[in-house]
Amino acid sequence: MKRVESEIELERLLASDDAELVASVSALRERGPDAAELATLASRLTFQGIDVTPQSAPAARGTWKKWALGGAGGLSAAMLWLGLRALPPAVSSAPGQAAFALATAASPPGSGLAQPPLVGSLGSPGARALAEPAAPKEQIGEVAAAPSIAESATTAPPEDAPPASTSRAEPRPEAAAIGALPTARPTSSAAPARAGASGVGLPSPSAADAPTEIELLRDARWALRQAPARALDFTDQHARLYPQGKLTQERELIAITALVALGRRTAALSRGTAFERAFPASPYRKQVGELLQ
Amino acid sequence: MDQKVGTEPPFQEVGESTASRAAPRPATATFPEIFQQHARFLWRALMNLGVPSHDAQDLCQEVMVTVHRRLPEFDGRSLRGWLYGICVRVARDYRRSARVRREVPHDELPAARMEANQPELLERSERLARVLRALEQIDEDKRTAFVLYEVEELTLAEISEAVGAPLQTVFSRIKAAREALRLELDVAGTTRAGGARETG
Repeated sequence: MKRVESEIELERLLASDDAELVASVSALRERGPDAAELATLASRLTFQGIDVTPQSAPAARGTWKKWALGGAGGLSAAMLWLGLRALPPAVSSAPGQAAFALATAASPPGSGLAQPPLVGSLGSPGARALAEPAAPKEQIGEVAAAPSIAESATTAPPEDAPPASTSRAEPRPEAAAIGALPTARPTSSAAPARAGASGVGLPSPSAADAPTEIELLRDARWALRQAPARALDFTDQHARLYPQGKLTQERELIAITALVALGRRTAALSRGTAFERAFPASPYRKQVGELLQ
Repeated sequence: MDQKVGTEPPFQEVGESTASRAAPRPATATFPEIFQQHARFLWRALMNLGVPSHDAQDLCQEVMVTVHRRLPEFDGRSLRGWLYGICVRVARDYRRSARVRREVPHDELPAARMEANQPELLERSERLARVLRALEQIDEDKRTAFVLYEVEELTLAEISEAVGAPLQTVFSRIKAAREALRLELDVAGTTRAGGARETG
């Protein structure tokens, strides 16, 4: 943007050597998110289907494929999310779809395999196949596929994996990390045990086997379509395992959606009201508001 | 990094050939590039525009979702002006809405309890608390112009774009903000009990 002379002159007039001002500005400049908070933001955007991982030019799909197969767990997760959204809903009203639709994507629920633009930009043919499971049974298998893709990375972390972020100290770090490839799940294990397991009736998993927040909520959202009651099992499990979870708002949104889908309006209303009180600034407040109408 | 230029350099990945450096810059960055390069600063700006830290993440997500949705309509002229324009509007709507949970700025001090034994950190925390209280006292237009110019180091033209006001107006607001802040900080300095610091 060309700078006109008057602008430069005005900026010259603003030059200042006020030490107190400089020190105050310096203090303000130090504020902001830490790495863990940014990673959480990245995860939440990914959860909404907004990819935050930079790629090279569209031509370089080989690179992207390497990331996908090399254990960019967060990226695979994002693909699956996007694939999920493109499938026709089992329930016609599809409140779950409404809850997570991107504004730009705007593919109406019944549009079948119409892919939102983001999937197109992500997709190498092999990866796109992962995003298009044909039937519910295969879909559960789909979910299992992601952990095994990520597993190959846990044994040999990608060379450009980010340094261990502070979030690793938490029960389960988020899949997406800013400034680098999304981290593979660090202790991905027992993928078959997780796949298809609702957690109900099973002994609670040990910490090493515990699913990540994103895994649980991905399962929950997946279940929204065909089995909302099962979605509630997943959200209950998330609440038990991650009482201070990073994706708490997302869990509540799924739970409220499930309650609405099940016709449990009173419970939905009470949970939705609690949500609005707890998260007045939530990026999902509009969706929650619509669900409660 | 040259922050004063309107467009940002394209994201460069390890392994890209140097030939691509010479290639003409794309008119618009992609969303991931924008996120990688700007999310931290937009988050910071939200906080300095008066969003308490406990709501900053939610609002930053809202900013990012808006950026993502409206990126196709960005005209490619001033990226930072455009980004911070969204940021300013989100912060303003938040502060004006009934859902704002107003809390006193002192709770912004990061881990103040850990700093008791470290005088420099304590002083920095106190200075931050002082300037935050002072910022709360000045009106929104001036505060916005000040934060964008001094902290985010936008050009006057970028701020003009972000807030939708002419260059000269932005200039006046920055000057007025500085004077108002000076006054507030002076008052805070002289009324501090037992304050040994010189103000000015």
